[in-house]
Amino acid sequence: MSKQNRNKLLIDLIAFIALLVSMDPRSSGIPVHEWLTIAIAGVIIVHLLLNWNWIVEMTKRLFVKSTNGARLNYVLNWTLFINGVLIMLSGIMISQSVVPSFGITLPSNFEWRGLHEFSTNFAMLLMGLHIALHWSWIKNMVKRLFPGKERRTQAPGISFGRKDVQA
Amino acid sequence: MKILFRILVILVVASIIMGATYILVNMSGTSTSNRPREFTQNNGTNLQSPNGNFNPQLDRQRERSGGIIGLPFSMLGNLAVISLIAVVYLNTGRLFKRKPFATAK
Repeated sequence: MSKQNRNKLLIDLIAFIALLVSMDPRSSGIPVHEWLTIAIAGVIIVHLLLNWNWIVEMTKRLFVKSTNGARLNYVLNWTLFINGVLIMLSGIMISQSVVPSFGITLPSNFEWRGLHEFSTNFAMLLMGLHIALHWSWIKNMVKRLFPGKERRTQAPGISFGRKDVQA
Repeated sequence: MKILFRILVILVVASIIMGATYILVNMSGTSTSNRPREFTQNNGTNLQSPNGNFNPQLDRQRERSGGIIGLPFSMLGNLAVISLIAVVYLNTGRLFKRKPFATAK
């Protein structure tokens, strides 16, 4: 497993756990929710930088030569990015901790709150699809990260394949 | 330098989306009526927000329920929802890829 892939997996895992914590401001508290989300935005920028080559390549050959699955993945990633930006903006507009701590008062209204709630719920759907589309990569990376168990089960001495049943 | 340029690209794209959204939300905000909104609590008291703006007191009361003990449960709940979506998508994809029937020789 390359160092870059290990870093990617680690960063994604940290971002995902942080996202789960920040998804419920009633339990974590407003300050944790807001500051953690800002930190997640930084992690997402790192995530995009690590996958920059894929983004550039897909943008170049989106309409020329790419599979439908790759196109769906590309569109879904853009939707996820736009949705993330909407969450950040609406979150800033209704902020009760971060923005006031800088001495700024924003004219907030119900539209921003509605947008924040809608985009957060939509993010859960998009996140589920994002994980599903990258499931084989995640599975392979985890297998490579913890190869011990895999090797033990594949050892010839303890292998019970279909040949035994057919014989 | 290359990384800084890439970060700048990401921030510029995000700023464009934010700007467009800000304009759209403000346009829709001015088009809607500015009559005060009323909310009734469980105990019957009314919480009124002046000029259609959201009421921070009402907002805090809504946010206060839960607590740190509820955090693992809510995390698990959100994880379950995301996992369910992923599982449904993965299995739907497999369902469409699968051949209808295996033909006997």
